Amino acid sequence: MAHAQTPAQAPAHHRITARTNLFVWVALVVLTALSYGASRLHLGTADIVIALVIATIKTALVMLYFMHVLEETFATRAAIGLAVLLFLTLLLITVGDPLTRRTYPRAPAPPAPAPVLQGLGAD
Amino acid sequence: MSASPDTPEVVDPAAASPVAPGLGDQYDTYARQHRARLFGMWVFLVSELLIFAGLFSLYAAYRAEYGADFAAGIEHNNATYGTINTLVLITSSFTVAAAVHAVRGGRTRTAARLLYVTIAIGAVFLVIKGLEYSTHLHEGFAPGPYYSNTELPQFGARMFFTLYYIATGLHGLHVVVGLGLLAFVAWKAHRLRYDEYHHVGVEMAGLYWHLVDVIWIFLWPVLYLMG
Repeated sequence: MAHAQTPAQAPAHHRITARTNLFVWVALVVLTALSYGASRLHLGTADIVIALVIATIKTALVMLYFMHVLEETFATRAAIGLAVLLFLTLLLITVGDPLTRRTYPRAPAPPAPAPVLQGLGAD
Repeated sequence: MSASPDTPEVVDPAAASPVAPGLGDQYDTYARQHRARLFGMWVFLVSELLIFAGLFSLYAAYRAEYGADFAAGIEHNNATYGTINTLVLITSSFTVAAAVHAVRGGRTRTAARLLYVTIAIGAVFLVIKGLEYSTHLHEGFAPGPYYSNTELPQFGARMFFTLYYIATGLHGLHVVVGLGLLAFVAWKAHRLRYDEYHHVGVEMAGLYWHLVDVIWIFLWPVLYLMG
């Protein structure tokens, strides 16, 4: 018996099971706890690196499993990859400016204007 | 295996489904229509990502300039609220993933229930966020010219809290839109307008909700942890 065109849900969809989803949720909770714990140690610059690495791992888990990127077409993966590349480009160019300015002294921070709404903070 | 002239034509079960939507002229099959819609959703989501890219870039640039002030601002932020909200959103991402899994298996009623649960959890996020905003406002941590905190009068701290409000505000707007989308597909699922073949709406609303989660996964360390 010949097979018709693949129906709406391709067999590949069944690769991610309910069990996998549950494991991913547990992993996300554990990583959140780890990130919180690490931040309380106040490790200085390492703080930033640890927090961002854990956030990246969590994002990868959400995208690969919850958002089914594992089952997506090449076209979709290419769109995602390109967006990540553009994101990093924008970020690096923007942050590269203040990090590498050496040609003239930094302008002093502008003075704080008087609060517009007096008493917003006072009870 | 070769089809004889007598073999009846194989019927695509997706086309035979009672809830089958219209099939666009440009598609041969529902499978293709389904994949094309998911691709379209992804293109939309990555353009959303680039909106937030601007904010993350501004944050990084100002932090490079006013690192100590940003660290002080983070110390004054409420990590407890932020962390609880992270767990709340992660859990809602899990329930929406479970809803997609259920509807893919043809268990539309279960999917509807899971979507309602997701909406409830999403609402909890907004309530906690509201409590947090009100705490900040009472301490004078208001955006831009409304900032009146005297403990941290530095320019960098003002900038930190202004970015905090813009980023969490834009994110909160996405939460509200996401809740609307989830409510729409939950209602359709409740009325059994989806089955194992036709449920791309649930998948798309789910993807949007996961995007909201992913953005928060980065906002959380950036605004609450990296002191």
